[in-house]
Amino acid sequence: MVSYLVMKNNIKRLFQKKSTYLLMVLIPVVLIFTGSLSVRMEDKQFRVGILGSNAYVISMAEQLEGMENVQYEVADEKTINTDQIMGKYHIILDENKGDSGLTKLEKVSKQGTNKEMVLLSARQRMASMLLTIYMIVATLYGMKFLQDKREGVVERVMFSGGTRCSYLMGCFLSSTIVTGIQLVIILPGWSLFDHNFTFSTVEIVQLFLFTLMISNLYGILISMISKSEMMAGILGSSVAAVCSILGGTFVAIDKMPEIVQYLSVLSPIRWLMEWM
Amino acid sequence: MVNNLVEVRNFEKSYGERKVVDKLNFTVADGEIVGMLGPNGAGKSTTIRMLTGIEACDAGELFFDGMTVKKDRKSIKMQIGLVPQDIAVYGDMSAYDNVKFFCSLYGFRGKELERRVQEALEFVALWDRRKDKPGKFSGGMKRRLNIACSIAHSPKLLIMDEPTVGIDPQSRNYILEAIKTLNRRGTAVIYVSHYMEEIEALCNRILIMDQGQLKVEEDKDALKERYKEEGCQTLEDIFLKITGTALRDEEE
Amino acid sequence: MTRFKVLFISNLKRRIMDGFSVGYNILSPLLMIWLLGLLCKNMYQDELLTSYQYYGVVTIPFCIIMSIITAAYAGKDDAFANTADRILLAPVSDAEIVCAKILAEMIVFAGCSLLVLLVVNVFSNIGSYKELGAIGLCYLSLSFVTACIGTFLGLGMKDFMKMKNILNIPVMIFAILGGCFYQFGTLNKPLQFVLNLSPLRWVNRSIFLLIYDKNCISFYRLNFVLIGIGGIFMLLAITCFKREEYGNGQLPGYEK
Repeated sequence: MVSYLVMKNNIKRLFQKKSTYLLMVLIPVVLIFTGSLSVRMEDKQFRVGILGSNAYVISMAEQLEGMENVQYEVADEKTINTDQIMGKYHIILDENKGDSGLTKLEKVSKQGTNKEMVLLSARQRMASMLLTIYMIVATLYGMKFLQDKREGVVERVMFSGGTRCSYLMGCFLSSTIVTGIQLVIILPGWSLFDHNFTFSTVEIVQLFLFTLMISNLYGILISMISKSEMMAGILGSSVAAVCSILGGTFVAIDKMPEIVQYLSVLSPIRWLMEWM
Repeated sequence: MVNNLVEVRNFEKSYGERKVVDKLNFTVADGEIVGMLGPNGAGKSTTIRMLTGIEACDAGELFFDGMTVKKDRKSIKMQIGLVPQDIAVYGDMSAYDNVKFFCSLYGFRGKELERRVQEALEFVALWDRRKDKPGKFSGGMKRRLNIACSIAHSPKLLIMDEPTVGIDPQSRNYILEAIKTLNRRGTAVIYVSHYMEEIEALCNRILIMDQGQLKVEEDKDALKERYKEEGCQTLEDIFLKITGTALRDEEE
Repeated sequence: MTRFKVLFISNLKRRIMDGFSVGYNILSPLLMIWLLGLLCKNMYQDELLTSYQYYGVVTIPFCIIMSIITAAYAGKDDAFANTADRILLAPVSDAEIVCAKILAEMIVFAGCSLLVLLVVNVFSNIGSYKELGAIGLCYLSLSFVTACIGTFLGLGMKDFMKMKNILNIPVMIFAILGGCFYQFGTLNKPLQFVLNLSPLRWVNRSIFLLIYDKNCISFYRLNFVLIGIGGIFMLLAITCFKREEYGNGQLPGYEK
């Protein structure tokens, strides 16, 4: 009964705040923007910079025209290293260095690009970013418990016969409901804005349940172990960021060093990526 | 002829549509202790904040020792000390460092600064505890440190906003005696308090504010004499007679 | 000038002793560089530089920018300690209060970042000492901008707490677009335009140009722009200084 009353009260408090509605709009916008951006950038896999005389450039351009999924441009000698480092070019065709770059490019181009894999990896990435963001959002909701503890409200509830656990359960239920409503808006909304993110019904349900449970459990756990709201905020976002990195959001798991691959098993984001 | 150290003319302040200070006029003479009374929300704190320049007034003028705020702001600030209601010291600095820091903001350096810090801490009987941090102090000691930080630069006017809240009678007695000593040395004091016995013990003149307006500005004994005929035996009776007994719920 | 010196030294001491400044500007970047460097070790084997070198360059500016939040909280330091009124009462001007905070924050952020750079250089050899010195100047300009923006938010804005929560989002977006987590490049002109919206992209690019292409024009231009932007925000912080906000210590959830 106490849990139910706390849950009801917390939902009322959360929906009285403008930030709850703002998050419902902001999160999907940010995710769709970054997701669409990353898909478009992965569309053409190979970016080539050509460095040399006009004749060399024309000759290389003719050869590259025939290759699938290759974009090229004339590179600037003064910034060539930086352009490579910052990911502008995958391969440099340098007149002074012979055709080794072209050979490598031909080999890779023949293997072709698996557009399905590109989209799958983009969808996995979007899903992992969604979970990361909701782990942080759930921490914010979990901080309600700490705020209530600081204000003495939890103690009051305990005086009236409730327990700390029942209060925590109420907080967990309320944040789960609010997060659930936000996810119901976000998940179908994705496919409306970008057809690349059309998930099947099963995938949507999987993603919905997984994100809902993991993020809210995480939020409550953080609020249980933190002494203050500030500590919860910092700890929650730091751990979520580390889980995201280890889980393969930015770097594919198979490309990580072996020891890190073992560590990544601890990350809920890896569990999501493997499930999808 | 009495020298007016402070002259407030037509102070006004509003927060939105709510007028919190309304055409306030009063004076404080050199070497005088003036008690400022009023129910919660009367405008006392706002008046003090305008007096000290922490907040700007919507209208009105302040004259301090012949100087105006518009022309001589810095010189006036050098002469005023404020003992705020909340303990206003850095918890992670020692008592000595706290007093030294706040005194140095008034331009004091070197040996002069050290002398003033020592004098201030000795005055409030905290010299032996100068290396300790406020976290280790009792409530009374924190209040005394609060005072030390405000008097180190030897202000001509000391404004004290409820300086004895939440402390034991011994500490309170010490603080009241210290205020009297300061006054004997020539410091004028504006003393804000809800404790009538303190006002009666310390003050020469009384200001009573209510709903942003000054209801009374009178000599303490003359005020008591005037209201004796109406059956008011104590200052508290006079205060309740003037301001009424209705509850004043302060708006946020 | 002497009152300014007192405020500046006091703020400097408080920033050095402040766990957040040290945490965000020393521990956090070192941890990120080590973690990301380790994660991406295999991806940088054929490249001009190692993963540690890459993340050694791109992580530190990101952590400096994140310190906007720390700078905003530092602006509230006196209010939280209930000492703001004392400082307002003292014969110090608003400009002295603001500038003392900005300069103290700038020195601490830049100092911590330079220390991290030197530590990373010992293990990863990012560049020559001359180049590191130039990068240190860049960190100083970036710290200046960060301190000015943070102080402006902390002292000049009413809803600082709400602003602080929202601020993380654009900073993270700039970091992603700037290549702070992974290399993000394109030949597509519209996408290139979007990537160039990130100030961190310009910072990282200028540093890489300095070290790997020996091109310093862009680098000095960047410093000039950063100082200009910092100057604008410094003026804004001074003109928008709100005494009520400076003295408002009601920061729910903020406990030291």
